[in-house]
Amino acid sequence: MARTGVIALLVGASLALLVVLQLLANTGLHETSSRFDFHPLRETRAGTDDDNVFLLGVGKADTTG
Amino acid sequence: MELGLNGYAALSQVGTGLRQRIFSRAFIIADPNDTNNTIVYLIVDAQSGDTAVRHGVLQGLAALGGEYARYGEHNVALSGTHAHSAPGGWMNYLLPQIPNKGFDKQSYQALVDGVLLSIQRAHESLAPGRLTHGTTEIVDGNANRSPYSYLANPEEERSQYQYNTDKTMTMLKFDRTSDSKTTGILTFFSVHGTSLYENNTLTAGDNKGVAAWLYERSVANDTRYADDFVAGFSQSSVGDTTPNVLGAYCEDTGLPCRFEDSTCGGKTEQCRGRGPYFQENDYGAKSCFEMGRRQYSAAKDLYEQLDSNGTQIVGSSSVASYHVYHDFTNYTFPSPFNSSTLKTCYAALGFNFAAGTTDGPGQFDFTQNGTGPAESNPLWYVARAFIHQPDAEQQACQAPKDILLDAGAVSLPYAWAPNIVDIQGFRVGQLMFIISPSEVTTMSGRRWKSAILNASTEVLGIEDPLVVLGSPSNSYAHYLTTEEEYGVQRYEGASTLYGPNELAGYVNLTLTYLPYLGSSSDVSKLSPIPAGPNPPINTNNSLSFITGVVYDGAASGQSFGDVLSTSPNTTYKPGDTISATFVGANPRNNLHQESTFAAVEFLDTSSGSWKTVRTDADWNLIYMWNRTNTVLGYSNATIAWQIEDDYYEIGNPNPVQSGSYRLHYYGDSKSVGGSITSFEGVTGAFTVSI
Repeated sequence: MARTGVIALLVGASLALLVVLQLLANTGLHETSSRFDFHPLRETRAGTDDDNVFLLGVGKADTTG
Repeated sequence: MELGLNGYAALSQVGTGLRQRIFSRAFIIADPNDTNNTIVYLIVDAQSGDTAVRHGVLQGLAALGGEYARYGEHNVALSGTHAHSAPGGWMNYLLPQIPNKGFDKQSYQALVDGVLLSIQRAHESLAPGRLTHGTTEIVDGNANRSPYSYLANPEEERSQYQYNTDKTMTMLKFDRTSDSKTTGILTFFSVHGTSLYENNTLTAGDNKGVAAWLYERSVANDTRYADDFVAGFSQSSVGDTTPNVLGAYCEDTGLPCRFEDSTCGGKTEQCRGRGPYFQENDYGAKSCFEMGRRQYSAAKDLYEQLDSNGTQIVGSSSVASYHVYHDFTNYTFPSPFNSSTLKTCYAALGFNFAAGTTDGPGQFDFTQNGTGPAESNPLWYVARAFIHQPDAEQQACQAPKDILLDAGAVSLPYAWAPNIVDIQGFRVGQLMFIISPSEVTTMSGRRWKSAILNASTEVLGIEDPLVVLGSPSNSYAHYLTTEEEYGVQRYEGASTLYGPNELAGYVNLTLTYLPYLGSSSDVSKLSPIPAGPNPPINTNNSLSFITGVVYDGAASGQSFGDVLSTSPNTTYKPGDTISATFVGANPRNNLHQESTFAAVEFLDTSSGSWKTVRTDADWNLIYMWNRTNTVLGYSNATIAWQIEDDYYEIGNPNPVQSGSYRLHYYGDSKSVGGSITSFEGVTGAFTVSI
């Protein structure tokens, strides 16, 4: 019974830890999204839930030969 | 300079200077949740896209590696504005190389390097944004140069349209979500890049180059636009359009040309189209500016309406593309228009190709519509047989085209014309891109767009699809007429390489591959598209009869950059031209890409420093170069500033102001030993009084 209780405690703690970690990760993603809005990251392109928002780029260069 | 300009196929049109720098403008659109779903649409100030140039760009992207691995055959479209005033010598196939005396590696590399840099800059600017779509009409923005051919289309079809050209400009507005600034506009409008005439020898982007430059200049102090804003003016259903909107007249009599075949007294040479300012003796420059101004003004007005009247492009998870190489030789397929089975042919040009157009007439006894004596002149048939005699099957396939150049059958010293072309399509949300290697006539474009629009709803389930068409793109495959226009065999029909069923072939193929623009999950269920046969790439085996720079010399007592002469006055006003001639050197020693050969500098009296206010990218500052002694290597460089008056200052937030100015020349000389040395030349100050 005691061992069962310990196991349950460990499982519960692990689950709680996972929830906390997930919450922290989501917070991190949110921050990344915020940074992504203002400072596009070169290495990662965090997604967006807005289906009307694309990634857009424009560039111009001289081709005079 | 010293290189043939591309477009009119005129041996005499050899570059002598720079009216306006030319550019590549890159537009990248990606799915933010999967950046491998991305498209790159390029607009290059050039006669067209090209197989070799595109290949060079793709090789360059592959070499960049890293994030650039997402860009490749399937999603890079290289379209040309169809300017007929940009340097040539870079095309892949022999036929268009001939007027430029072959292939020039420097010209090719300048184009490839510039395109690559534009893509890099676009890639590095990637940021979340929204796309807004809108249209407007430019009624005086083009005219039809082959209305006789257009009339061959069925009356019930023609009656659906008010005009015999597309008067619609379509705009895509690129807005960054972080600060709501507009980073770019991408427009599509159909008008030939032939405002500058065949006798113009100054490099420029023609009317679309003017439009882009005017728009980019106009936003300098407008906080609604981002820094490094890019304005793209893409070519569209260009085939039978002309910017010479006043019509075609005989230069000897002043009378209208004959309607059926654009002749004057039975010949083509005297029949030329007139631009809005045809009376100016300026090689078409002011007409060019005017036709660019019309596109610019329409785009500016349309921009102002888009926030309230525009259509949002939706579906950022629907960014898709496909590409396949296809050989049109004896391609048999079901018609997309009816229940018949059709066939295309390998490439051939008809007699009336040699007649040219009212934008650039041909020579000898060729006429449009075959009314002249050329087709009964046995000498041309001897010439044809010398190149390649088309067999009965080819003649039947191409009928009623009377074949002059059976180009698709000739591979010595290398291919003369493409039989293998790019079949490519893009999708961005509900917007479909048709990417055509051939110059599409008005009605061909309408039929193609209609087919894609209908299928986009039926096959892809898109409600209210939109469509744009960019040509000439990727491989340059001359023209595309309807079957009816083909039957008339004016210039455009004679230049429709693959026979009367070419349009049906393109439509059939783009409908066949349309499912590949569906959702990722739908596409994953389809068989992979085979890449198709690879076209030949002739970059390393092309002939060249273009001489390089040997050396530059300066006369005794002179140094490179010395001022030889200047305009005589000390004070000038808007509308005047001031020029200066310097001891020069060949500009091919250093192309000054991303820089300039010439500048106008203004004296800032508060700091005492000279500030650059004009470069050779500006329309009104002209750089010219000419040899004065070939043996001794002497040359002159002349800079001319046509001081802008109200007409040329349209939209300029920083117009000319009164004050002291000077002209500045930047050159590079080549020694006998081959070393290149930079030098500069500066005039004395002069006054501009407003």
